[in-house]
Amino acid sequence: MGPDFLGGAEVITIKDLTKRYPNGFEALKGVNLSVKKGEIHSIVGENGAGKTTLMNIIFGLIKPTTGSISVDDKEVNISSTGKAIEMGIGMVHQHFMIVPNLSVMENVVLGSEKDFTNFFGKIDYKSIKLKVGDLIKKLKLSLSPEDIVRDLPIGKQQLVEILKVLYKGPEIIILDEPTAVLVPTEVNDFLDFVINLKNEGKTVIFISHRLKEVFKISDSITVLRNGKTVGSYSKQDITRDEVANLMIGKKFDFNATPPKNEKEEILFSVDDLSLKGMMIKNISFNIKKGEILGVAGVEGNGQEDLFSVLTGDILPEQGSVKLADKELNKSTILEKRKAGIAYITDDRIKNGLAIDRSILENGIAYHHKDQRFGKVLINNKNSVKLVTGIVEDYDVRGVKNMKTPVSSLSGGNMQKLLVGRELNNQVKLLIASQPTSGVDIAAKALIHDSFKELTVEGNSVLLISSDLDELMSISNRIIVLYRGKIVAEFKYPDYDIKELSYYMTGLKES
Amino acid sequence: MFSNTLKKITIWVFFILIILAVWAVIIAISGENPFSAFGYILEGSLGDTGYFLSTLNKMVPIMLTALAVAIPSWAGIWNIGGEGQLLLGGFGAALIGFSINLGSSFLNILFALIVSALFGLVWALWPGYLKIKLNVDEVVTTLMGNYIASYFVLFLINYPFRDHSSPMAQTKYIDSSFQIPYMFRGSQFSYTFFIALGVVFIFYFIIRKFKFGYEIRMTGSNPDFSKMSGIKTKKIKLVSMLMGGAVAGLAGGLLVLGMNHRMMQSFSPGFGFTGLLVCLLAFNNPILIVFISFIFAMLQTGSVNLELFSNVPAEISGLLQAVMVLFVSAFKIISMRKGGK
Amino acid sequence: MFDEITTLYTTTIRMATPILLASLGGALTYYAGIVNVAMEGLMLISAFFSVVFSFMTGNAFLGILGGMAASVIFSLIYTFFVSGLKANNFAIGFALNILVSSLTIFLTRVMFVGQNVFNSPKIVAIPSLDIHTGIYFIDNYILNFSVLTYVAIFLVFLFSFIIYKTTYGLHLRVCGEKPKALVAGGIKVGYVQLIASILCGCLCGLAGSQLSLYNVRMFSRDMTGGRGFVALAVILIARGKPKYMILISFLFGFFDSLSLKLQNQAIPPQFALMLPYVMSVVVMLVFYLKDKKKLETV
Repeated sequence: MGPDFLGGAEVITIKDLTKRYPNGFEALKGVNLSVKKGEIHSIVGENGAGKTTLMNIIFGLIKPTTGSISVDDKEVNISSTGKAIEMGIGMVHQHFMIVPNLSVMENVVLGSEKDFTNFFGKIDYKSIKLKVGDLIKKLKLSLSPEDIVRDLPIGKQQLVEILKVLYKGPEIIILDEPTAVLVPTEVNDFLDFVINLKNEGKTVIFISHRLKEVFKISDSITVLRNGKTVGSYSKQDITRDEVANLMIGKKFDFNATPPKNEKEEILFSVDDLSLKGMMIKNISFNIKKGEILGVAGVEGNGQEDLFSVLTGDILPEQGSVKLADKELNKSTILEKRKAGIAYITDDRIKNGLAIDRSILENGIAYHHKDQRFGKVLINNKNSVKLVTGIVEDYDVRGVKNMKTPVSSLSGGNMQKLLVGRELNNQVKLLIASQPTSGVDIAAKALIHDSFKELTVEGNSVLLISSDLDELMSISNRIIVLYRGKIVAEFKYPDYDIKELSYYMTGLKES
Repeated sequence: MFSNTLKKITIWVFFILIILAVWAVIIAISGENPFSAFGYILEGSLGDTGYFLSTLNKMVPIMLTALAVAIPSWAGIWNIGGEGQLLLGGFGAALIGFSINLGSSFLNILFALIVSALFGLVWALWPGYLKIKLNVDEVVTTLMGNYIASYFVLFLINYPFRDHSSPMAQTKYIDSSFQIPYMFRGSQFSYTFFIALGVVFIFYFIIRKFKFGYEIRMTGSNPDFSKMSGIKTKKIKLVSMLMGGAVAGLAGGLLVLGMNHRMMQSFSPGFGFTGLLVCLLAFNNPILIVFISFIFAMLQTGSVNLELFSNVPAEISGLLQAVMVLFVSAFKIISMRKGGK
Repeated sequence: MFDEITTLYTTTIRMATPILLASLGGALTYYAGIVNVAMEGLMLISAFFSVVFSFMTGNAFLGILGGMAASVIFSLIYTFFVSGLKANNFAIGFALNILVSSLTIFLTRVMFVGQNVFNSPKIVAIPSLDIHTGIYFIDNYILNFSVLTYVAIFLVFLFSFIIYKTTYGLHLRVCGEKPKALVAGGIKVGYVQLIASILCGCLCGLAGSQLSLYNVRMFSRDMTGGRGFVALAVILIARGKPKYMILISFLFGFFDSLSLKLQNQAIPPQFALMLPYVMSVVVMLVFYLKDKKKLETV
């Protein structure tokens, strides 16, 4: 069914929308969109194309700079989320908006609890439980109203998020990358759920950059690139490859392959690593010289703890960690770095950079321990030389001068600075966690190339990632973590996405 | 570029005028003509050499206690304990000054100052240690430390170290070989001012140019990241706290050796808190600390003159200072938002 | 001996009351995501204006109202900076504390030509719950405390009810933990913080009145003596949980009371005066040590 066939009225019409931030960054440079009643309309685009900004504007979280929005053919000013909700718009956010320490029902009614409140402000939790329970039954979800959200697995937390939005009975539902945190098997169920919503007469705006999902459920597709609308299409009128090329703007090589620099000699080995109270149980693996080893797994299955143990942030109870026969199990991060390990953390804002400090200061972090940068005083000349080199080699854009704060760079450029800094050491082993999250395709390619280059001289990479495409395109081997254990190992080129996801979700165990 | 700077200057001139206007209103409410009141303040702080020198003298404890807040603050930890550290430092210097003699005035002064810094350092040690070991809130512990230190010093000068020939609770005078000499006849202005100024510039240099300063800055900006970069953040936090304590202790030592020559009751009219205000106003910048200490010292010495010639009590200086901090905080935020757009 | 215990107990209750009241107030902003370091100043400004209004009107109740009003105004200024302008709450809190300290002493000197103290027989004190049953235990251990003590106990229950059972309480708990979730629900974070700050102002106001208008009936320079920070310690230790706050407040009240008692003993008074401050650090330490053990065993 395409939009013409449906022939519904336009429920949302957006004309020439722009958004310019105070720091001069233009997130949207002219977006047009028209969503018809009762359709599933997908908005696709690269990271940073402006999808989330656009949705936040429709939901009243951000104010646009210029342009008009009409709902049901009336031009409106959506000044707050409250207004958006009144107009029948609901939004499921990419980053969870649910409160971990509250129960499912408290989360669901948050914002509409007034309906259950008496004159003295007392909340009638009994009726809330009944009503939320009914909705859960109607949607056939496996949740209990009194569960505390904190204790639920990620997939279920996502459902709470959606439940919360649907509770308000919106006619238009915005889903911002709802499948990002779901495992492949959960995705299908979820997509059926979305189609079900359409069958009940709701309008769905579906944001994603996973084209397979988009083509499975959409009636229409709008492509955004660099803050502009590239085009809107009925699903029948366009193919997946065409959309992919519209998103990227240039032909992209989907056939990346891992490097072939593996040697027989083992560089890094982890033996029987365990951590009580944490996710990790009897983990053993090793990495050969020149190898890229991928670690796959659904978020929360031990990747974070593995990374913490390998940095020395948490000391393991048993087991050994050896780099070229040197025991590093109990050594601090400084000793590990001195032994030749470099780290890319999964969250550049949290612990990969100090964003309110300058590019120079960020660029010399850890390098500053080296005598080249002075014994007591910082050697400014060598520092500038080093960081200028990083900025040039890794194509970090937007650098006015070395003193500008890192916060003025875009996410992708921040990440390039971080990667460049880490690889500029005498690296024997790089431990990288989600190294390309939230960066554009060009930056991603550059980062992958730099990993491959590292292996040329017999150095290795441990790549922890939740992006299966990334893992399969550059790893020589992939191990799968499930509930803190290694449950499977795959070797290039025998990668099967289905098999991988079975192990990731625990449908298969070794 | 130039017009941008000009715009900034215009905005800040405007802000300063607003602050002056608010000050004028406060003075007017207390029943005095603001213009003549400003006149008295200016006269009493800059009017002649004597006034000017006592304003500079006043800067010594203010500058150093401000620095005592700023150094830990660079590393992301609060030291509200400047007052207690200053009192203990003062006592330490006095204790050395009336009990031993190393034979040379230079050595004596040096040793007494080192001891005063050590006393202050010790008083910053336990809150710093509790913070990094158990994450006990340092704002509460350093603040409680002020009360504990002040009662402890009161005990010391009331009982074991009291000068019994005096009707007041105070220690004996320090030996004259410990006194930092006055520079001019008829004024208490001494080399202490230059020592204090020197300390501020040393720390300015450390924070900007030293590896250690770099590690402090990074720790303050993002401790998680600093840890990833191999910086021992807990050590950095503790050491910066100790340095803060030492600087505040030194302030007490300088007051004893350069001005009071003994430890006494009401030794400090709240220098620690004035220093805290200065540091807040200077946004931790050592150079601004010097300038703002000067303004605050002017207000303090000037308001004494104001009280002499009018019905306005000298406490107005604290009021004017605090008002200034609030307004400047607001202005800074407003101008940053405006500047962004 | 028995009388001494009774005195120690009554003093404990009297001294615990302001700490409890202030910690309830500060806990509201704590839930709303603001660690309130301005409570010291809020209590002090109320202590001053309670005395002033009681002096001028000859009515203790109006005295309390005056103190509360002053405290609310300063609490609003604090919230304007911290929640409205997003300024650093420590910086603004300390600036306000120092502002209040200078302002009260300045006003004492301008208005009453006093030095550092303002007292007058015309200041009317807060009444006690004046009921005598003739039974020693009931008369001395349950009845006859400051009216505000009973108000404080009632407020603990009201506080629990608000936090856990009402709409506003739900908003408040979300506000500190995940403000974005509030915004997404169409509720303004600033509004929730504003209400918390007004209530905090009222409660710190009551605390200040209890300090200056009950028992002593005078205002003296910096008479709160760090109790705002003791209240902050109570909140941090109890993590805002009302049942723990009441216990810890009474513990700190006991140290205050012990301090007053020891001042007349053979030891130097400075050690007695020091006691409440030393103990507040010790108690914090004990609780944090316990927490650390808990974390290690998990």
